[in-house]
Amino acid sequence: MRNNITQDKFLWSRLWMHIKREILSNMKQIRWQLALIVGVVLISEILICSNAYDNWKQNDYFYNSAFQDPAQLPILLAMVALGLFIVAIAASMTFSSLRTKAGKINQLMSVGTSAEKFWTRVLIYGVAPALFFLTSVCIIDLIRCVLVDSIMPIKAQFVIINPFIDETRVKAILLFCSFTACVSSFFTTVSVYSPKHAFLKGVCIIIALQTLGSWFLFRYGNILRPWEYHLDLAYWTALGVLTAIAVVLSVVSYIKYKETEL
Amino acid sequence: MTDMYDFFNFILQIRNFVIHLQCSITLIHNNNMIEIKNLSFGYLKGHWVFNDLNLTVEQGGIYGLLGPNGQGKSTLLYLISGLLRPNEGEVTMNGTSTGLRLPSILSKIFIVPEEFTLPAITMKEYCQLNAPFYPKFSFDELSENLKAFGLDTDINMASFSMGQKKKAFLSFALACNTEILLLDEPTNGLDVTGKADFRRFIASHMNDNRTIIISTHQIHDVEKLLDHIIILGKNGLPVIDSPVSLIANKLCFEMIANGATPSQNEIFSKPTFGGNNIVSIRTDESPETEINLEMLYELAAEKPSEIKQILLNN
Repeated sequence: MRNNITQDKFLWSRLWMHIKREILSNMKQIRWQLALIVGVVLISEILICSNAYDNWKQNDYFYNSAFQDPAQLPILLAMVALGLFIVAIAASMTFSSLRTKAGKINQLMSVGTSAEKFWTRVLIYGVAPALFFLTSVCIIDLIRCVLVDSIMPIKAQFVIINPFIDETRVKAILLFCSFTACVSSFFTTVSVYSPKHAFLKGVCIIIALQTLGSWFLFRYGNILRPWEYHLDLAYWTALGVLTAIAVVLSVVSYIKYKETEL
Repeated sequence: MTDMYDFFNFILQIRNFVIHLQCSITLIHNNNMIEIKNLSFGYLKGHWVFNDLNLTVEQGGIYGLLGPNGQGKSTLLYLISGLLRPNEGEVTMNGTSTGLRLPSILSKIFIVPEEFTLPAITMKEYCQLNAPFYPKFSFDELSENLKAFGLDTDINMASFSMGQKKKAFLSFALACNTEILLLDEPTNGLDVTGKADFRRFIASHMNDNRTIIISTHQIHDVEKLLDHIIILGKNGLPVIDSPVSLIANKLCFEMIANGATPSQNEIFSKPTFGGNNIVSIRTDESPETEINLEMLYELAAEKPSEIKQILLNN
């Protein structure tokens, strides 16, 4: 094991050692972040449910829509927005350790290839919070369903929609995943280039890009009109473009990380 | 897919083989561990910290890196460790560029910067997590160092004072047994006993395979440890880059009382309490004296070309 550790190629064992070290060294901080995710999901669910079920009771929808869960859609929309927000925040903190000279030295001098150190941080600060968020949503929503089923005359519906019901859902989920990957890699790139206030800087760039995009659409929107008649092609093009952006941004951030100096 | 994987592995094996071959050839030819060739570096374009610097660090020995503020002592340590990359020229360790930051190089270099952070875990946990990255790490040496510094391995390092953190980090750095140990202002923040312990540890941890480079302003803290002295001057070029034995052979450091006859070979003097500190050129008759690092430093600052000439003359 010890002789292997100095090999110059990518080693899974060393990647695991880096992950373990990063998690155990920052256990307190990571624990707080995870608790915050659970807390935000829980509070959002409670607020949305109380609002949705109150409206439902007041408007006496019982006889009209007994099989329609009034909280499902608002929760789904809220969780999509919250998920994107959490992914963006987490990704913008990926390379926060590069903010200080001491952090940079610690990071760059650890024994490992640049790829191992890069993926350690991306997995811990980019991928893990997203997966943890998804798991929290599933568990908390499952509890909501059980509680609602037992105390209300309504069949609660699980917020995570079954993707295998029809092709449209699969497509929607694929598009959402590629969009999330795109957002995550964008904020990761901002974090490598400018670790200080990466989230705020990322948001500013998005606002600027959106303004530019809106102006472009307003001015040259006509050129997109033919896509209206080829929705399937438009969908696959959008999916391809988003995935390509995510891949390109990930490669760019890796190269920048590799070239980082003090 | 498997073919591609095999192909990449094959390319990597060839690359590793070439790197090891280069290292072996370098080691056969000389025992120069670190070679700095035609190094030019500046944080801003046109403002060079180093301009065409050439320096060799041999295996084994304690190097003292001295110089005024802003002359690039810490920068040189960062360039050696690969944290910075030269604008021109190269820094190599056993023939491999340190700027590549390959794991095989990183596992042989440890840097203790002036400012560092330690995670909020116990020293025991810290060592368990970090020691596996260093093949020659010795837990026995670590516990010995920590014991001498009076540090407990079960206390969370977040509760340590600045000095205690430095002691803990130094203990870890020494126990890593890396071939190159770079220390930037290592005695800053240490108390009097801490400084004495530091000197003792450095001396006791030395062996022929290990090179320690100490950059410091606290010259009295390291005076007796050094085997080789590098004093940086303008443009980061070394005014002195000589072994201590050579300096002691060429120069004589004395303190003469007020009214005493000065030496004929005197090249530098400075008044001190009750007399003058003088540096003179050593003749065959004059006895070998202990180097006064403070005087040598001032001499290098005031008469750089003269001292260079003296040390170059064999």
